[in-house]
Amino acid sequence: MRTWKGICAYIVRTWRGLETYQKAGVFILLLLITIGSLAPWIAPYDPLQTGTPFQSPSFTHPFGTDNLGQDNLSRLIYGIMNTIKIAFVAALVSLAIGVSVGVYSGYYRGWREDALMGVTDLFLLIPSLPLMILMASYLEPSEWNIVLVIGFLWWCPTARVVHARALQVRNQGYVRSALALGYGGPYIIWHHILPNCKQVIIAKFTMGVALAMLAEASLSFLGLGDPLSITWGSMVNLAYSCGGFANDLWWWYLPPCIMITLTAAAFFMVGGRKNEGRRWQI
Amino acid sequence: MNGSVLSVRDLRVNFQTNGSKVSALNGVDLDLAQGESLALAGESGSGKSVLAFAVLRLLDDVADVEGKILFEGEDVYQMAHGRLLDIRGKGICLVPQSPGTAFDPLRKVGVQISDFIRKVEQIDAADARSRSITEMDRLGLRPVKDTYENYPHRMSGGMLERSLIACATATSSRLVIADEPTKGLDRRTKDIALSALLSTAENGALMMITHDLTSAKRCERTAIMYCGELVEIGPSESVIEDSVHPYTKGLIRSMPERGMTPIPRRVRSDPGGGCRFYSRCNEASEKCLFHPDLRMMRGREVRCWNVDA
Amino acid sequence: MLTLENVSKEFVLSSGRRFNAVKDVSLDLNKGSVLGMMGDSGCGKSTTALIACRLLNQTSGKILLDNMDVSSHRRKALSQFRRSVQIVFQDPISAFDPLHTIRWSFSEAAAASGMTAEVQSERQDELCQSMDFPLCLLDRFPSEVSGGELQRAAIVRSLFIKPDYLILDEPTSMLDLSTQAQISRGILSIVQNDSIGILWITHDEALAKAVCDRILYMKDGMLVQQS
Repeated sequence: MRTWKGICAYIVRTWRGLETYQKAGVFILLLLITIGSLAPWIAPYDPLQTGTPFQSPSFTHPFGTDNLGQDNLSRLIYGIMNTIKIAFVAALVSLAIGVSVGVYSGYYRGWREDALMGVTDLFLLIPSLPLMILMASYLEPSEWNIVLVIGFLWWCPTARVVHARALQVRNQGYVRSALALGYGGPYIIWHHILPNCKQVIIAKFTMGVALAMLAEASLSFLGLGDPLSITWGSMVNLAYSCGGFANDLWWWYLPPCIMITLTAAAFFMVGGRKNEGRRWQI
Repeated sequence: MNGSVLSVRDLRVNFQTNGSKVSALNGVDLDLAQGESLALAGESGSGKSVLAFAVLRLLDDVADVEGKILFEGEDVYQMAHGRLLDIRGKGICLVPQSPGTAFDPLRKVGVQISDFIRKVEQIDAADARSRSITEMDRLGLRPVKDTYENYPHRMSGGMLERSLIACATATSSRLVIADEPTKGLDRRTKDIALSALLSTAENGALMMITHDLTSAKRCERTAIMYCGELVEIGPSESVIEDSVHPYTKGLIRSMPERGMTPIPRRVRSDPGGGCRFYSRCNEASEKCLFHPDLRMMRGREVRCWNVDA
Repeated sequence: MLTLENVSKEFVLSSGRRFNAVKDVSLDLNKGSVLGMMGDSGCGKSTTALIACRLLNQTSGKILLDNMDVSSHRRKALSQFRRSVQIVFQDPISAFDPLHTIRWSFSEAAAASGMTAEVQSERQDELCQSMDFPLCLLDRFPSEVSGGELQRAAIVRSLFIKPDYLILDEPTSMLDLSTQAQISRGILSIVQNDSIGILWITHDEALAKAVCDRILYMKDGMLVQQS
């Protein structure tokens, strides 16, 4: 009971501290996730049910049908969770690696810092999109490949930012005080360094999700995603390869493009840096 | 010419925080004449820095400011925005507190000083450079060639503080407002910094905010502030050596060399209608339940009922 | 007795130049006494302080606690040593984690020595009283408390685990006169009660003369005179 109360109070406090555009981002995302998770009930058709192909928008099919006669609106709705899920896990993987590397090297410094930051710099130099294409085409097409590729390539910017922040935090008086009290590295990292890096971590994470979505869309568009999973990227790919673009069937390819943009923008909005007004101490 | 550089009339500043109103300044009157130096002393939170910001009209978006601030006869709060920008820096130069954040971390300190001089004095880069080097040398930032090329994070707080002072003393601003310029400086550098600041008062005026009454003594006049009000203002010699207000006396007694006896209790956040110092005063009487005004006596103005001429 | 024996510290600057911040410093800090250390900024006072509580490794020289060499202690033994020598820094604002309340920081200190909740609250009341830290501020965050009050809290925290020695690195230089007097008096009363050895770093000569039993003067990394 008490913990629930605490959690609710925390949520309310966090919500109040958000900027208007962050609230808007959260609202859009919650709306999308609600629709996505209720897909079987909301979507008018089964996304795999075939019918008359290449239909124009009508009351029965608001966004028309694709080359197999599958309802575009239903596919769009089913695609929400798939797209967000892949992007989320990919961002989580890159975040986990990036934060660990950044905090560890920032706190312990010395040769460990030199080594880890050297590796980070090396990874930063890798041109990521070509490599992604290479890896995705070499591995078997599957949605988890994208997670793997994005996760293992995109941790470096996070590592850099977190490292810089950790360097700042470790020189603060409270870290020294904790050291003087006899606390060791793991305690200090967990209780002081990580919480004080929270802002940059959250910002990096939400941006990571947005970027991963875009990357997933690009890879799927290139036909390197899982052909069986319904994502917005694969919808655009389908529209492209089956003449949707050539015949200007905008109701087919435009909605998924807009959804990708909207969702990525929503994540960017949530992660946008909070504009902290100068606090006046009197 | 011995005209007035700054005159502040009935200045009131209120901060709005979470719906409640906090009064930071409560009717401050202050005059600074050409060639004069004034020290503004008092405990933290007495409103000294707020006064400095209010004079430069830097509080517009965070507080309600009432009253009049005249800089060389012009009302700062009535003037056009362009004119205001002109006066900041050229007319009034602020040496802010916390030098650690006052410099851009990505640019060399010397270059930043030169840029400031160039902007204010409208001279070319080479002149500005040589002028800032002379000034840094005067403030003891030696070897100057090295410190000029240094980035802020490579310098100590005391060096940055002196670099900030160099900005103010290298230009011919009419009024220099220095917010705790000697904080964190040791005795030797404090001396250098004070002399440099006081020399700016020769062709303008200096207002120095400080905790340190020994430094305050070197200014011509000293004003003691408590809870957003001036409680004693007059020639430094008489205010510090022969103070009459119980608060000033308390401050003097808390100096380490004068017994280090602190003023009892804390500043009250809600001072009430009477004398604001009432709850901490050891000379309080029933008269003090009414708010006293500044009265002229023994060569200075005092806000206390219990002082007799 | 906490002893520094011929301690030196050399920093390698990013330009590759070497810089001797502390040269051959020896000093004894006795329990129950206040040792002052004075000198201009940049003379190595703060570096000496960090070395004395082993938050910074010295380049050469020894640190002895009750005649036992602790300069090569690592891990557990080092933690043990650090708990007996506490340090308070000049800047009270960075001394507390902005994300935690003051009470949390006190519990952190208490947990370091494995105090029970009862002992902790007793110690908290006792110390807050002697430092005149208002108990109503305990549940506030550092940003909601003024610098003077935070410095009191920092001293309370450093004394929480009953250290034998306390190093004060210009504890009052950011504070106003009255607060400085209040805090200095509070510290002196605690020294007398708990017989803690204090190394008080300052550049205010008047303050040093008022609070210290003995004053060391430092210049360019060396001790130059005693009084």
